[in-house]
Amino acid sequence: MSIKRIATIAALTAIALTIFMLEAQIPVIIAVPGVKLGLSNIVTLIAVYILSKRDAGIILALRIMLGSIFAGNSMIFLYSAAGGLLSFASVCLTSSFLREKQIWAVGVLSAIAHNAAQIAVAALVMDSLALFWYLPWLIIAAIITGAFTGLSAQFAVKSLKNTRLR
Amino acid sequence: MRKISNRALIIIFLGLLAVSAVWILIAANIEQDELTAEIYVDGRLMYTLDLSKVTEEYTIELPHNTVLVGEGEISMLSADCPDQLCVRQGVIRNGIQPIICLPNRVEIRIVKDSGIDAVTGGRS
Repeated sequence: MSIKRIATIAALTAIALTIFMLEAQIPVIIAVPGVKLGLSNIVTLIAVYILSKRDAGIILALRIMLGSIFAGNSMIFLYSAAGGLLSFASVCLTSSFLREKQIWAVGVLSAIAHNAAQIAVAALVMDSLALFWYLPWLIIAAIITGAFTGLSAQFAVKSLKNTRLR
Repeated sequence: MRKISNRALIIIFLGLLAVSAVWILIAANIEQDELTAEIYVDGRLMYTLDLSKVTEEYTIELPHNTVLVGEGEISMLSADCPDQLCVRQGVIRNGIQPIICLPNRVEIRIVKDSGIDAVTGGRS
């Protein structure tokens, strides 16, 4: 791994972590557990397209671990890890056949995966299947937030195209 | 693999959005005849209430939450959790969506009663 790659990974991890911490301060409008803007996913998406899936995975793992340590809450780790894992899996799957003009769609699908995973964890924690009634709310939130983060990543990847990062 | 166009994706997602919205609208307005509410704390059933027999509002105090029981409806009056999502949710009148306080592991749900006369304040 080159120095440039290591440095890029480090910088992206720092950015993802910062976004994650800041976002935790923003109250969400919808009264459903687990809904959030998911802005740090922008970094994950960018990393997949300008580095590699493995590097993006490293950044994600670091962000989840450090994020839950800094937030000081072990529940956050559980939800973050579950959401992050499933959304990363979906990114890996879909980025293989969606082109760069469709990163927004990768974002939407990863957001849906993320929210679905969080509901599943919440259902396990609460020992109740009634949680799944929140699914339509989560799908709506995921489509909107996923499109936003996916589009942001798409524009970022495009503008990084002729720089030395790509 | 065959390439999917941007337009197809937009249509799929808008469709999903529409289906979800319709689901929510239908679910919120289903009228249920039998309104038995169950309050679970830590996964254990603590209270079973018949909401259709309520004539005056009253509250139930839980360790970290307060539940407001009304005529045919139930809601979370207050809670000591940081996000307050359960309180902001408002009232529920049917069994479609529960009120969940995730940090305190409290769940309020309305069930279709199987015929047993529900008892207020029953501990089990």
